[in-house]
Amino acid sequence: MKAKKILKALVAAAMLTAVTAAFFGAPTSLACRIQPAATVTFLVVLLLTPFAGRLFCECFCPLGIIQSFVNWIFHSKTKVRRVCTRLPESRQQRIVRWTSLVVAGVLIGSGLGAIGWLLTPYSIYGKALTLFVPGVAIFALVVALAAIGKGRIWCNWICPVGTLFNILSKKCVCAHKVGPGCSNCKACFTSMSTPKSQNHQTTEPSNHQTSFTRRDTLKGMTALAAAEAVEKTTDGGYASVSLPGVPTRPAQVLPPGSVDRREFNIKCVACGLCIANCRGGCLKPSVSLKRLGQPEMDFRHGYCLSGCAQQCAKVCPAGAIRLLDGVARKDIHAGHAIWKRDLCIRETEDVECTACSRKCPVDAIHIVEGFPVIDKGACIGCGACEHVCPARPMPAIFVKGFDSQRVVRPFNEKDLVAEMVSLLSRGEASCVSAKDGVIVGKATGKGISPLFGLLSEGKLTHALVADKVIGRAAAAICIVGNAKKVHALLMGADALTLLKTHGVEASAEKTVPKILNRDLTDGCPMEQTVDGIDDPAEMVKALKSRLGI
Amino acid sequence: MNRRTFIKSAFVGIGAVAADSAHGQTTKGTMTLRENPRGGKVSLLGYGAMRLPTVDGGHANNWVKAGYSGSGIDQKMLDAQVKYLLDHGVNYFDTSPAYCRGESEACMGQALAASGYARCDYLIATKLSNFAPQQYPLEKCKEMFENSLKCLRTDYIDNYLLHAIGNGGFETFSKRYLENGALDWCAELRAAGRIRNLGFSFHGDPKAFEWCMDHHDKYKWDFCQIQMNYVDWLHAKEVNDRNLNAKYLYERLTALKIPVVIMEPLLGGRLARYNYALAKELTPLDPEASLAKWALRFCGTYPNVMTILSGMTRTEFVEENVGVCSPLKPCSDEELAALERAAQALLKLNTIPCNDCKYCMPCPYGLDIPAILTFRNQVLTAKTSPTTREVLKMYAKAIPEELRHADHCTGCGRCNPHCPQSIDIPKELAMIDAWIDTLKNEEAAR
Repeated sequence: MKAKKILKALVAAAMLTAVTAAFFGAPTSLACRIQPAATVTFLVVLLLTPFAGRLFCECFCPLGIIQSFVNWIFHSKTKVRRVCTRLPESRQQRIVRWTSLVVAGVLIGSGLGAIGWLLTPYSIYGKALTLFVPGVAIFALVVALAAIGKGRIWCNWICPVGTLFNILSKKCVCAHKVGPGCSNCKACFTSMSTPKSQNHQTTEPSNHQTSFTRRDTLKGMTALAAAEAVEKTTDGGYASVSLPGVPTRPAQVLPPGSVDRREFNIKCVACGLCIANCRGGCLKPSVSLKRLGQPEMDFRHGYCLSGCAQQCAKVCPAGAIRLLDGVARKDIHAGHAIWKRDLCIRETEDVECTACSRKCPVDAIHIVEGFPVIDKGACIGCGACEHVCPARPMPAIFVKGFDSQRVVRPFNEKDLVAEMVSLLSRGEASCVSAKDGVIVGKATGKGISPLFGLLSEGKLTHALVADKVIGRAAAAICIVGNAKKVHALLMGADALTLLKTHGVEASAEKTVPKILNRDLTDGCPMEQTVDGIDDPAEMVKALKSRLGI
Repeated sequence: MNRRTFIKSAFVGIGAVAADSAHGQTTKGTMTLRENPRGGKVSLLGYGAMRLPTVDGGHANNWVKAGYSGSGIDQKMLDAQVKYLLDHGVNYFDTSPAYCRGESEACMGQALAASGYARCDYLIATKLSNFAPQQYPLEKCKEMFENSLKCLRTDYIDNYLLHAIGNGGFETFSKRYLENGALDWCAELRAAGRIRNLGFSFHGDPKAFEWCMDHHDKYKWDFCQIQMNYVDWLHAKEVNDRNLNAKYLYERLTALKIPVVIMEPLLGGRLARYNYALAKELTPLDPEASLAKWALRFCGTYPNVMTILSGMTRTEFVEENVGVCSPLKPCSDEELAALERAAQALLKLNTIPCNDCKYCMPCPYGLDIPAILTFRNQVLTAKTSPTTREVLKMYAKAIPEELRHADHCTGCGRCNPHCPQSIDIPKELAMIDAWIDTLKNEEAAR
């Protein structure tokens, strides 16, 4: 029995550490995946529940673990079963519990998910760790309840996830049984506190109080323009600076890689992991009632870094932010910038300003005749321009978020070569050329004549060329045609050298010392034609006369 | 023993005394004094009141944030420093109406009055700092002078300077001092005895300097203040094409028998802070000497140097500099060669020539320009280059408020004409921001 207890305590400690660490920049995949909305590990826990009882609540739920710990501190002497397994429940308890489950279910189902999730343990813990005010308040309440009462009042009375697990563990084989000696005094689960425990109500984490600087700043913010344009008379000192206001965006900007906005609002459990792991410092919990605690971008303290490896997507446990394979932050268009002429200091103060244009990581803002012109096709909605805009009280340039984010997949040469090779090996072409990631020319035929065909059509210029066999003759044609890269199923070593000396990239599935003729009895006749000539232009001339073109 | 070796060995003896004094209490009355050809003696070390001691550890950011209503200057500390300096023979105090957000003169007036010394025991230098166009008219200049007298609690100024001629080009110089008759008025003041010596401080446009030299017959400059140190001696023009090498300036002034007052002997601390490139060249010659000592000795080696101004914000700096100059040991040829090698090593680091003078401040958009540029130099001069994460931490520490970071520069360029080092500030800020952005992205890509 003791061993079981210790094992559970160890697992619980490990889980709590892992989950907490995830919020401080150490994404542990287990910690992320264990969350209620996510998948495999969770299913395993779910399947174990009928046998092992409310394993999740005891060992995996951060809120449950913390409550057990608080209980242990405040009521260590009392012989109370702190773990919420099958104990007799009062009618009121049952009513509250089921109401809570139904309320959460209805809220989550009806699109007000963000509030529904506010009752679930991971969401509460995450919000508390990211210092989101409502989350901190509920977390404090949970801890206070655990300190005052005996047993885990939140888990047993309110938590909808706990209720779900309660149903599952109804017929649990290793559940704590109530012995025959029970007089049903209910002392083991009543939440009435003893006078002694009332002295211990100060467990509320006080450090959370100091952290609402954002709000304070907001309150204390004055409508001061950053630019005071005072003519300098003395040296040193600082002009006053003030944070810009939050513009009323037509639509909020979601983290890059987010699913469609409506789906996002349902999927996101508002756990706050992405907010805690945002490297640019721009993800903040929403205060809107419909999206309470869900991430959205606030560019006053940072912007979405264009080179970020999408830390937010890496940690998202709910599948609301996808980590797209092979796609960089720069390829995701999360929104675009909008410029307001009447707010720009170019208009209000008649000064030159290039801040937004200079800061743009994708060169999407061009200063034309002193005005910023936004290339909305290039803009990725990172908010760097909004962050640096000097206009006050509102930035003159701000980002509108897309409902459905656009991913511009970068041209991937590896995939393209693979596609071209498959065309060749299926016999659909004997020679292919591609420009800017698109196949532009296909030719069939024997020998080097298809390559000559592409050359005459000008389809080799700056192109990626793939051919079945490339010898020195074919290589010369590619060089003359000004190809960028040549790929062959079979390439002669001498051809490879020739291409490289003329600055053409070359690669092959297989390299041989020399290209032979079709019967493999002697050297290839075309190769023999160009033997001894080094200048590609001369070689092409010789080939043309040989073929009679 | 010929004369040369005799002098050399005598210097060695003096040097031993100086080395001792640098570690303990400096003996009073040993300060090197230089003769002012216009009369009187001037201590080789002068006090520059451009960077006064401030409360809260010196970083002005702290007191701006903490909401101090006062100037932020630590008056008690300043009083003690001035007293110490006067006790040890320092008698030249240089200030300006523009320094320290305009607080410098009043603070110096207070400190000098509180020292208990008589007015004739010390020399006051202040300037006609009419930088803003609204201060160009002669009336405003007169007002500025009278205000200086009031703040400094005196009825005459020993050394009065035209402030930073050449900053903003010859045209600005002409508007500030020639067209409005301010220079002629200054000459009148000298004739009337309200100022004892008339001079100018020079930065930037050579045309303004040459004009002053050409008009020496008319205005009879009593002294001239130039930027001189072992880097600017031969390399000022290399750093910025608009500047003139200190060697040229010094020789030009010496030929006209105009005594030289030196500013920026330590390049705003850049030659005093630990820097591997400098230490590597200089330490073998005298392992105990600080870098600051080397820089001061370089300047003191030249006989036409009347005084070396140093802004000593901390008591340790005051004590050390007084020790170095009591008495000052001139550099040998070998040491001068080592200093030249050190200068070349410093130039190779490609640091931004910012001396943290804060003339560019306040930036209308709230940026902390000197802190940003100094931060960049700090990273460049570290012996081992810090990691990405360390650099970002240093940046956040150097400029705690994001709104004052380099990326908030609008490129308006209003800072540029104020920079005595002619740095293209917006360009440098853009470079620094691009560099920081790269580092941030590197960090986020992990």
